[in-house]
Amino acid sequence: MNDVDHWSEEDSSSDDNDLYDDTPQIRPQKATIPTVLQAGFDSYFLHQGKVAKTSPAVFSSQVEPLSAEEYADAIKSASEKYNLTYRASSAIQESLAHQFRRFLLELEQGFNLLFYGYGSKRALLNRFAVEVCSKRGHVVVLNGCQPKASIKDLLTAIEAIPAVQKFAGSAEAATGNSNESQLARIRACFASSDVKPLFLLIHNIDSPNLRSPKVKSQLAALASHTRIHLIASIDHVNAPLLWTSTECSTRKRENTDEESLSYHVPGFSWLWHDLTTMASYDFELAHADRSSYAGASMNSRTGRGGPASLTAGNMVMSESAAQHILASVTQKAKKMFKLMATKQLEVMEEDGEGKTQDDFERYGISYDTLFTSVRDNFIATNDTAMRTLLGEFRDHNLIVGAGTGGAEILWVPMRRERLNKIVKGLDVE
Amino acid sequence: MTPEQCLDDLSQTTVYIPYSEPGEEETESYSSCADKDLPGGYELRFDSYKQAWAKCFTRMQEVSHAIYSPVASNIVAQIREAFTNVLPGLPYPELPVFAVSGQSGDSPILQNVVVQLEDGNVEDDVTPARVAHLHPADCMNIMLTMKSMIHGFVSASPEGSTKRKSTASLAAYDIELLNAWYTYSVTEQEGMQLVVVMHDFEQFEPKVVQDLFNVCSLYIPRLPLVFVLALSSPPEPSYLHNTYPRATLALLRIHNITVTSHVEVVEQLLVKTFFDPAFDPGIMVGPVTLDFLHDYFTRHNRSIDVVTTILQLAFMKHVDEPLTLFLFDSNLNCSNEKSALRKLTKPESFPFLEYLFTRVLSSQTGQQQSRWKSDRNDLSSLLGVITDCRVNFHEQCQKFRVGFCLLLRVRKFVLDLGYKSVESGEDGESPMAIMSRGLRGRLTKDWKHLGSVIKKLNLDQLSGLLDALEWFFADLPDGVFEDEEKDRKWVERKRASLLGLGQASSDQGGQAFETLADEVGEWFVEYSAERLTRRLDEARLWDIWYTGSTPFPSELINPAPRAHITSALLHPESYADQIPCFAKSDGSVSNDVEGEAPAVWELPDTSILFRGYLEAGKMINVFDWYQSFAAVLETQRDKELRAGDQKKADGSPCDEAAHERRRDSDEEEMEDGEEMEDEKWGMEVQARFIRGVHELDFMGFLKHTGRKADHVTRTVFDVTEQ
Repeated sequence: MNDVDHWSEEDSSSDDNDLYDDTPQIRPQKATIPTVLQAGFDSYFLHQGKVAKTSPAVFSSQVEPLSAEEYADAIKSASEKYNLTYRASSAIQESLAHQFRRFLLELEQGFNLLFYGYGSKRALLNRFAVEVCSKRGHVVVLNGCQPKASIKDLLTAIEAIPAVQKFAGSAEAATGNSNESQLARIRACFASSDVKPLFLLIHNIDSPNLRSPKVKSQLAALASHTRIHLIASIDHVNAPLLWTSTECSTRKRENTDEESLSYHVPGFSWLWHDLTTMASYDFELAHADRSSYAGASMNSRTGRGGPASLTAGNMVMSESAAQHILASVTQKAKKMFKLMATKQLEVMEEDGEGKTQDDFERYGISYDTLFTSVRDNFIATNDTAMRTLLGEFRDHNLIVGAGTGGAEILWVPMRRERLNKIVKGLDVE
Repeated sequence: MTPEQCLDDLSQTTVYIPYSEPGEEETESYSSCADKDLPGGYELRFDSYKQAWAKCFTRMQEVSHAIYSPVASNIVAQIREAFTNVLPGLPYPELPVFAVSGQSGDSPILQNVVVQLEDGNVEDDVTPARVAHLHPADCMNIMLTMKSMIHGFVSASPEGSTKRKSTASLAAYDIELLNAWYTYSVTEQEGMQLVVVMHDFEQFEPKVVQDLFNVCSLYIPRLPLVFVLALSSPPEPSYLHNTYPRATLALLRIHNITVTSHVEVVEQLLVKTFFDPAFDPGIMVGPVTLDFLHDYFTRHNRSIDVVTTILQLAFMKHVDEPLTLFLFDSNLNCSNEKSALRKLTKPESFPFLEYLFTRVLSSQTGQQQSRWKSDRNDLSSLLGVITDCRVNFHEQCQKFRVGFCLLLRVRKFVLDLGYKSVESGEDGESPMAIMSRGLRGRLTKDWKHLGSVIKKLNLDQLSGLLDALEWFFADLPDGVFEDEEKDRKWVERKRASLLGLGQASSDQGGQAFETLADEVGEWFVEYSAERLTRRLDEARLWDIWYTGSTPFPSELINPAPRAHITSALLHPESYADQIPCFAKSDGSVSNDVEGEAPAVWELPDTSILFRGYLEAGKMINVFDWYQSFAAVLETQRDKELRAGDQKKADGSPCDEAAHERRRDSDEEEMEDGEEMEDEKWGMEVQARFIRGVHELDFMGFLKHTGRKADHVTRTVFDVTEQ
């Protein structure tokens, strides 16, 4: 790609000559020009060499997370007062829409289109699909930005097109339900000129679900078909690294008769278009966890609920979520939770106030100890009852554990202040 | 639910929009310059483009086929002999492996090989081979690799694709399955070979490939398996020998095949398509496109597909110019001139007509101009002028091609004789660079130098040169052959007199020979000067048929998405028509900073955060970031309140007393409300912060390493002008 920084150095040849020249000279004073222009990688090393000076403050202990409703309300009221994002000038929007016809001709000339640039491109591309592409053939849209989106969804959606269904029922179609057989059927179906061409619109083809080599090769198999046109968008700054230059440039093979020739090289033959809309990514981020600053990151999204992600300090239980869970469990379960939380709070208080309390595992209580005190308080008389009580909390991650059996350590993944509030709330009840 | 509703449904991962017949109101026509275009002009021009491109593309395919098919036939012949032509006395049979180096994924040579293998040869009674393709993505482990290889062979045949009972059949990855299938198939097709083509061989996991070779070597020659490896690395140092252990290499019989370098192929493609007197490409590419092609091809991606793409895009860009409607004829794609004239006289065609008129007028001499001005209605002769220009351009272009080819021929001849001095020039003098210089009219030095070299040639050399020239003229296509009659005859005469000189006595002959050599040298200089001095863009209305120095739209294949995103975040004002923070949702704008770069507080949230991001070190403490963001928003709020107050003061000059009364009563309420307001504001700031951070995270600017509590790592360190 073009994103290469340029390195410029002052020419030093004149200085070399001076070494051999003894006659004193009066030099005109040069203006101080930076001899080396800093490039991206210089900047990287410059930063790596320094110690990162940041304050010890911890965001999640200083700022209470917003619940989904609070977030929605706040954004709504803020957007009433301010326009939170620039609306890309209507002229730009219109000029982009004006190019739809050109995009279509490019698609028909055997290219696939890839749109980049800051801002959500969904609305504009959807408009392109509805207004232009659907007049030329079948259109299938895949919202790659959704965490559940997968290539299987796309293939299944394509197979649900009536024309493809009809073909799949015929004798010459390949059987089987694997992605490969589906691909073979789809390719064979669209090879016939009786079926209208297929336009695939993939929002965020750079989404983690579509990045693996396997998925990429399957997408390439679709993209390299002459009668399947791919329109895709990317938002990640490093998304161009997904494809090798060969994959980017490999053209669709015209007149490839699938029956007689097994040779086909999958590739995307991208044409890149800048589609900076400046629109907000609200739809794309609708699945993000707005209660955490790291909620948009896929790592926390896929790992949600697992103890590992909780101990990493990225995920903590919010107060309102805990209240919801507690409101729906039995009295006994509540009692058990209170007992456990009080014990955890005691340990936390012993530990002192100044420390950051991220590693909740340290404040955990062993299963055996908890069971003894639960039995002493007549909350649960046997192990099965105790496990039933714990079950509900575990399912909702209000109580998490590590280890197995009696040696298991259990804890509530909540900060002290919040846990305190919850316990007080239970006392009032 | 309509598709439009489905598209906004968060729970849907895929949406199907069925095909609908295009209605009356089609999408409006595209035009890059609507003010001087014909209605629907782009589509008409696009048709001409398609015609021109189809012609060029076919030609390029023919040329590349002509270059590659002998090489491919050679490889195919070797593959066919792989099991018959083996070294005698080997302790065990070796697995034949053909390593074809210098191949990019889309190589036409492999395609050629596969086609020839699958076709078989009816005359020589050769059974077509079966070919399976392996791609690195399908071969993550040995099981998948075996499965896709066996599937590749078995599924291609009708008897193999029948559904097998899973309990009563071998596993899909078991080579015994292939063995069984082969034993069955070979009864029908004797001597059938099994060829495995491994694309992008360097991308395969070596451990997996080792296992594959091990398994397959156990079954040869029972299963006549032949491997063809498409390597993109050069033959030296050998990737195979560097990567695989001796134990694996010992199983293989490696044939290294190096194919003609792609650079030479591209040069031939370009010469035969755009500089061949026997072929008229319709649109002539200009030096800028050729330079870009040379640069991109040598620097980024050496594949023939890239050349095709670049030329195609140059053609597509060329038809953006409204006048290219006249690319092939002057009838505006109508059946005859009459309907073309009718089309031109429609009111909506006036902008185009005006533009056409201006262009044609500026291309005429003074006398013609005054005649044109007096008779604006003579549209028929206007179209006639364009036809004349077309004929002129094509004549000039043809002359240029002949001159250029002759120059190349003489240059090659002289180079072969060992005159390296003719090579000295810019850019190491690849033919691509010469083409571009030729189109720029900068070959004077070259032909003068060649002329002086010709004068120095000895008798045999000169006779060889005259032979070559005679052949050159004889090879010209019919139309051109007659045009070059004079020069052809001249060369013939000189050749005859040279033959005569060979028999004459040495003294007389020496002087006469020198005169003759001088004459040939002079003739060459004159001939070249006549054809190559005048640049193509000096012809009238040249831009209809010649791309000239139009810049190539390189961002279509070599974009800078990262730079675009950072610049949009840093300078959103250049993309937006209003500064948002003073602009209320009703759309009213109340700022006076137009033309100036906006202050940080005027930027949208994500941009404010991005400024903070760029100022931070390698790690960012989220809380620090949050606080700086909150401070900026505080300024924003203050400014907004002040602007609001100002507005009130300006807008409603109510009486002071009433205003005072209201302020007193408001104050008490305000104190209660202030706390609520502050809390609400805090939440808004937090929500906006989270939203902005999520957007940056989504675009890949942040990395959550978890190394320090609530810190994120920067991923972008680009130095940008702020």
